[in-house]
Amino acid sequence: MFRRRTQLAAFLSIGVAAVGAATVAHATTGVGTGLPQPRVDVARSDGDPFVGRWAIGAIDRRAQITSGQLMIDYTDTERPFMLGSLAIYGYDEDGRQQLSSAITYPYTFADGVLSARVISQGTFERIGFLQLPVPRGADELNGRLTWRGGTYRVSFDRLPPTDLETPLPQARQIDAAPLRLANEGLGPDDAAFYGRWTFVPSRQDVGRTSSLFAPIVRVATAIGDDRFLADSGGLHLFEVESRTEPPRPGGLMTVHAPGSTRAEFLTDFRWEGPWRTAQVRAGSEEGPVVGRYVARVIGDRLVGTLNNGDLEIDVTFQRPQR
Amino acid sequence: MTKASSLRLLAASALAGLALTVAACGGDGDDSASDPLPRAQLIARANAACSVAAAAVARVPVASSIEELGSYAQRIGAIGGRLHDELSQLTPEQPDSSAYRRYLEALGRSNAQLRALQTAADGGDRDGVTSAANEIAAAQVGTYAAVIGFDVCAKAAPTPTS
Repeated sequence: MFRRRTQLAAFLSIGVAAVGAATVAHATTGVGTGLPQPRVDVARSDGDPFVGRWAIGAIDRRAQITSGQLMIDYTDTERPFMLGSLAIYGYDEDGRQQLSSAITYPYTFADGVLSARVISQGTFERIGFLQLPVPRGADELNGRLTWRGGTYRVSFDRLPPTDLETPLPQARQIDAAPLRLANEGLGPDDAAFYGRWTFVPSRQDVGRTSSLFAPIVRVATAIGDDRFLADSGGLHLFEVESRTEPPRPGGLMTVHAPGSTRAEFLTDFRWEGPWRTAQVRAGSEEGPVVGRYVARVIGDRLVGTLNNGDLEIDVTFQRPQR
Repeated sequence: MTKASSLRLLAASALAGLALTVAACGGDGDDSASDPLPRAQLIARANAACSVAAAAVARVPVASSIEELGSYAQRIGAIGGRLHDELSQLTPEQPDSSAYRRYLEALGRSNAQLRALQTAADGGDRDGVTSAANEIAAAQVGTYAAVIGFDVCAKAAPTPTS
């Protein structure tokens, strides 16, 4: 571990030096990185669209990030690999402004998504995860940043590679969903939503070409990246009766991942347009609120995210057959 | 039918059964490199072996932590190794031989990476775990199985949920 930290320090002392003023030129140009060669290469054809200097253009408000810069490049080493630096201005838990410097390494590319770990400059521990789908244009990246226990949508705007004086722009703060939707219930007709919704697996099955090894590829990927990869589950929406109050919608969501199963109770549904939200409760419908479920109705599907504080899970459910 | 003719019929049936058994045993022995299998037989034999292997994988309790992952990889690797050994005994006809060789190579690479995965997991090396998993995925053993028509072998096994 000590050796590895020394290697990281060697890189970071060169690469993530000046963040706010964007004075990092090419973090890897002309120097050895001191980092171990990643075991998986990202082909130039896959990685080139991501290479460059990027400013955080917009980020989920909950991340408490005000601005930031991401630099991605290939090293000048004998066998070049992708390496990045990430600098973030934000607030800590006590509301104090804070600068965090990190490297993004090692990069992998699969299913059209470039991924990298976010490793702290200060502690050299893994503090986050960055996922960037292939951009549609040349000047914007949209992806997800896992940071301080939460996973947030983030977009980056390309910065001119030679302009190193321009201050970083303030990141636009975006809300994952309207904070409080206008109407109580699941929709104009609650009963239209009742039934057992079926889980729709992600199209990004990392094990899809691995035959009988598919389970261990999924499991090892989830454990290695410290992620919860849902592979099955269900959503049961029903009417909750009460002697003292009018009937109201309730839900039970079960989500299976390799080696674990979560069961979450959903109450206090609200809706507005295509949006649906619910409180996530632990243990029962009367249990403590531990998170929030946010989804959109898209055709016959509920496409949403379950956030219970310690993790965020993307889940899609298909409307029950009538 | 007289008792004597019944005995003759019984004896004939027994001999026929014995002959079939010998032929069947001979068939197994002939799966060595000397007797190429026609495509349909090759596919049937490979699919049958993959079906057994997939059932065995489904019976292995899934790891839920890095501490359990090494043991899980070892057990899956043992199943993959047996499958590789079994399929290595089959000899395809010439038109299928290169595709079959590529499939076996992919299977072998996957098995080798399972050993790397086990080592990484036992050492608590999450980077190593991720890299080995990526390498197994990159081996594309299912894709190579599909190329040669092993539809059962090509299918991605579901992850057991319990």
